[in-house]
Order: sequence, then structure tokens, then C-alpha cells
Amino acid sequence: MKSMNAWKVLLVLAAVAVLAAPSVWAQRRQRPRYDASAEITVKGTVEEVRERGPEGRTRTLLVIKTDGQTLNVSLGPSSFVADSKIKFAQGDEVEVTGAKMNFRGNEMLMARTVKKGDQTLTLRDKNGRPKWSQGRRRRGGGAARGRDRSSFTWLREEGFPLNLNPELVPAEEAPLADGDMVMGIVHNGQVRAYPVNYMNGPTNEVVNDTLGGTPVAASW
Amino acid sequence: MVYVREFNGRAHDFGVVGVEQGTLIMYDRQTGSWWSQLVGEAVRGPMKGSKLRKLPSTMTTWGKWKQLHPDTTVYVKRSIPYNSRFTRETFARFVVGGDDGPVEAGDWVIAVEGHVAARAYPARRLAQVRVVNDTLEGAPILVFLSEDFASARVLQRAVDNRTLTFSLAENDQLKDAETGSVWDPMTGQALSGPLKGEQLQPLVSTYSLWFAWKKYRPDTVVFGEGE
Repeated sequence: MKSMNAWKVLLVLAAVAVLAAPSVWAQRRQRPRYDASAEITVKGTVEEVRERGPEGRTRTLLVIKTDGQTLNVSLGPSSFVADSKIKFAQGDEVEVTGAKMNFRGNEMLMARTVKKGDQTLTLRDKNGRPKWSQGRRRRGGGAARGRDRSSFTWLREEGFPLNLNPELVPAEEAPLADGDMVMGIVHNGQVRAYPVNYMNGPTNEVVNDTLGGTPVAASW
Repeated sequence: MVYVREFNGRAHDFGVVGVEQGTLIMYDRQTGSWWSQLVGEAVRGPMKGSKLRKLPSTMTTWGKWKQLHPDTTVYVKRSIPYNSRFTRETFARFVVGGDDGPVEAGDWVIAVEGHVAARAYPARRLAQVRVVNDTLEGAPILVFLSEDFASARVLQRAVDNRTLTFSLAENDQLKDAETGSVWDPMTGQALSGPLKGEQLQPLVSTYSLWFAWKKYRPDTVVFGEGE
């Protein structure tokens, strides 16, 4: 239903505003995540400097030869690389520190720093957060902060369908990974976890349950 | 958060109406009243003014929760294909990221209410210190953020009317200065030392974006910004 789709988009924004943590629907573009535990440092020679992506919003990639192997090194937005005034060209000797990762079937290195001679281009902090979005953060609108949604309103008068009679399973049957976020509660001796990943969207946000004999409404 | 949805012995069923001025609005089927999820109060309808009782709950990782409570049951909704999109990394990035400076509208805070006073701890400030020994309306409270930034706890930091002062210890644990006992902030229990077995009581706290919390409690005192 058209209004249902519009709702989905807007609730995503609303969810970011009010709930304990933002809905993953807000992350509509799949961006590879920087895994600091997979960080390595390699030395090599630049074979090619490539720019990829839509006109005006390209990203710069270095193809480097290291130890007889070719490695794709993703730097970041071309504008950010250009602003650094550090130029890369074929034949440059560079030392790259970054996280190895697999993006859409291709192995590549997401660079944190690139050293060329006595110049260092820093692309991410040690947590992998890109330097190019930190400027936006300071102005209050960046990726790591929520947004001021205080003017946003979207209401469906008749309400969304209820989430009743929840299915409950013992711990060993839960399809969760250790790093997934849950809302945990102990009440009157009963213990329950509500996984955040099951609670996105207007029909999933609120769970009507009974815990320790008490009827409860879980939401986040 | 988890609210009690029982009134006068009768369970009410809650669903979503939408979002009003950035805050989630719920409805209950039995009366059709509208409720603010953040405030826990009915804002429209026959139950307007009624308050929802909030139970203390914890946002944490599945790994940590499972370890603390192997006997836990888990809510699942099999009609939704499960995928691990919201993880501790996502949480840490969204909740704790940011530069120094005064608290802003988009900041995540952990908010605590006393009988009349309210206090908010910006997550990014908590990330720098990870443990705060504070006082709310004369009662000593402890605010803790785990090493991976994924779990926050707010507890009373007194045992038998004796106030304890906590500092960080190894393994994401805490140590009190008065007795040297070592505590697990997730359970609030002392694991070793003279106070072994003692229990700190958890307090109800709320994660919220600052703008939403400030609208609800404009009198909130923000940690790190003076009284």
C-alpha cells in the first residue's frame, strides 16, 4: 500500500529520533564496515590510481603491487583525498595500514592511513570512523549522532496491527549472534531477551508479552 | 524499555500509532488511548494522564546476556527473517560517536529520574570515563558503560546504607574504594572481597536522544555541564 511504504521510510527516520537505538532501516546503503581486528600494514608500489562512482561523488582507489600480489586499496571520497594535497601516481612507494575485507565478492583493503615518503594521509581514526564525515558531525548532523526530529509527525489514526502472543524460545534455539543487541530483563525470577533485530517497523516495535506473571509491553 | 501493561487487573494490548514531534506514540486496544512511549503516559483518550510503570531493563549484547542468564528465554518472530544488522558495533558507533562539546539535540543520553530531579549522561562523555559516581536527590548512584560501549547500567551504589565509590577494574568489572571488593556491574553483584555476594539495586534508566528527553524534562541536569 502506498501509504504503508511512505510510512516505512518516515518511521525509519522517527525511529532514529526516539528509540534506544536507530532502526537499521536508516542504513539503506550497504557500506562495508571497518573491522579493526583485521588491520594489517603493507608496503607496495602504486600501479594505478582509480576513481569510481557517480560523477561528482567519486571515490579514490589505489591499485598497489605488494610482494608480487595486486591489492585494491580503498581510500575514500575523491574530494577528501584531493583536499589533503597528497598526490598519488603510478610508481609511488606507499605504506598502507588498513582493514582487509571482502566487499561484494572482492577482497580489498580499506585504508586507515597511507604513507608516501614523509607524508601521511589519514582516512580513518583507529576505530575505523571515516575522517571525512567528522566535519559533518561537528555541525550536528553526522552519521554518529541522531537527528533532531522534534518537528516530525506521522500518525496513522487507526493504529498499526498489534503484536500479540509472542513466540519464545530457549537460549540455544535463538538465531542470534553474540554481538547482536538485545533488551534484557529479569522480572519476578523470569528472564527474557528481546532482540532488537526483531523489533523494527510499526508492527514489530511493541511486543505484548507476559513476564513473571505481569503483562508487559516491550519496545525500544 | 519495558512497561507494565496491566491496569486494575486487566491486561491492555499496545500497538503503534506513529510518531508525534519525534516521539513514538502507542495506543492501547482496550480504550483507544494514545500513549507517549518516551514519557510512559497517556496523552489522549479515556486514559489521558495515566502513567505506565517502567521496569528496569538492560540494552546489551546477546553474548553478554546469555552468559549472565543461561536460563533466559528469547522473543522471536519467525515471520521476520532474522539478520544480525544491529550489533554492538552499530550501537557503539551511533551512541558513542562524536566530538567533545556541549550536549546537542542529536546526542544520545542515558537519563535517570528521581522523585523530582532528572539527570542525563551523554553517552559520548560516559565513553570517556565509563564509570561515574554520582548523587541523585541525596542518593548515591553509579553509572557504568561497558568497554565495548554496548551496555550501560545505572545502579544504587550503597549497601546497607553504606555508600561505595567505584573505579574501573579488569574484565569490565568495578572495584569499590571502601572495601576493595570486585563487582560485576551487569548483575550488580560483588564477586570477591569483603562484600562478596552483596547486591547493588538497579535503577530505571532510559536511552534517549537529547532533544526528545529535554522536551520531556527541560529541568534535566546534564552530566559534565555543571549544576
